[in-house]
Amino acid sequence: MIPSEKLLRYLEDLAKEEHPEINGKEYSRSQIILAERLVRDLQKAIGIASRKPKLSRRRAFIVILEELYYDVPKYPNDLTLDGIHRRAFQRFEYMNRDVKSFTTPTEVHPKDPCTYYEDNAHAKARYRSTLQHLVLESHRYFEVPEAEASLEILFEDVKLC
Amino acid sequence: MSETLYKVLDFSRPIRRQSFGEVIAELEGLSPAHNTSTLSDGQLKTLIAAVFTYGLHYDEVPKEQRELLLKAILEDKQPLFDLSQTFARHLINNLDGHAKSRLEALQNSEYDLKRPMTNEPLVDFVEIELLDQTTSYRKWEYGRFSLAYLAAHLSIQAVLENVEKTMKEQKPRPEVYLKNFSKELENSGYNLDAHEQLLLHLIVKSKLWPEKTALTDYLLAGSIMQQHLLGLSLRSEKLASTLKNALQNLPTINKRRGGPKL
Repeated sequence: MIPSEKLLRYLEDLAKEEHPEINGKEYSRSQIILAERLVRDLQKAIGIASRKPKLSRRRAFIVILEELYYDVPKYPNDLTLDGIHRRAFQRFEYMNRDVKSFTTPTEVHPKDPCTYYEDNAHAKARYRSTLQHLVLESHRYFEVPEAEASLEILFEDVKLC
Repeated sequence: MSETLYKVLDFSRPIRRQSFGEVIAELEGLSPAHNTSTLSDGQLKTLIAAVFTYGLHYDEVPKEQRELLLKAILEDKQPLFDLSQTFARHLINNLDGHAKSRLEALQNSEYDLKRPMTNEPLVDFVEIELLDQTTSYRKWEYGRFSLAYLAAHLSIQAVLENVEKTMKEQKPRPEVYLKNFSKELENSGYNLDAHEQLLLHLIVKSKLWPEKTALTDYLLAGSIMQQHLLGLSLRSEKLASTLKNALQNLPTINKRRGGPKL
């Protein structure tokens, strides 16, 4: 456990920093990134640094699928969601529950979403909003910059189709 | 990419506070034999708030205790579960157009209230539309909400008003006052964990010097609450009494400067 003097010192150091301020009705992603950077050491010291980021199951699967397959046109035929779950669970914290609605990688994160969702506007809207959070907050979740970039391009496509 | 802006949550819109137990009682009155039922708008939001609270805090306990945690949330066994449930209700009030229509669509389904986590589309909705934002860019907003909630919940109003009076008369420097407060917490055998000390510090800071309380403070509070809600709830009486005692034991400026009168 962190000694109290050390905790006090952290708090004093933190008070010296320039802080992002909240004024009005909006705040920006860079304010949040700065604040998170400023408190990282203190969070680690008192043991509240998150071991894995929390992320919904579907978004966690999309991150893993995109990182592994961003540069191929099709998923391998033998790819299962079990394998994706094993990887996703190492990286992200999410509720491990029985899921019946998504049974294949394509159902979670289709390779050609505009065609895949052509006849299902509701599912497309859900997919688009699922991608949006990952694109806006990609710095939290991605380890492969190429996948981060390819998802952003895909998101722009889905917005238009 | 251009700078991403997020809207600060609007807490001014009204929320209902129907408990899960009340929902169950209502439904059993209507159709006692059924395992699943459609829900009214209010009932649905109560179910969502409960699933949200479980989703935000389940990893505070080991796997084998998670069933129990869920049961405790549904039965309102701990005072602070209401903090996250109330936050969820405000989040729902602030949903954007797409998420709102997704919520409306959920009204058409039947739900098994005995096993809330098996309602897949609803749990998906909670994860995608409510939890992901709370654990990322809105963590500081959850923290700010928590500090306000705790200041009210811990019944420390009276002692804080006293302190505020002292402040007005003596105008101590906030950093000196807070440092003394933190030292007091550490010195007197209160037996607090580091995150509890820090949380009490943040409650006092945000209450007495809201203008000096920064995004970083709220973010810390949000992280502490998300990871320790159950533990803090179990110790909330101890935390309240510690906060009161520590504030009362604090040397005022007069005492330090003046010394005993002859």
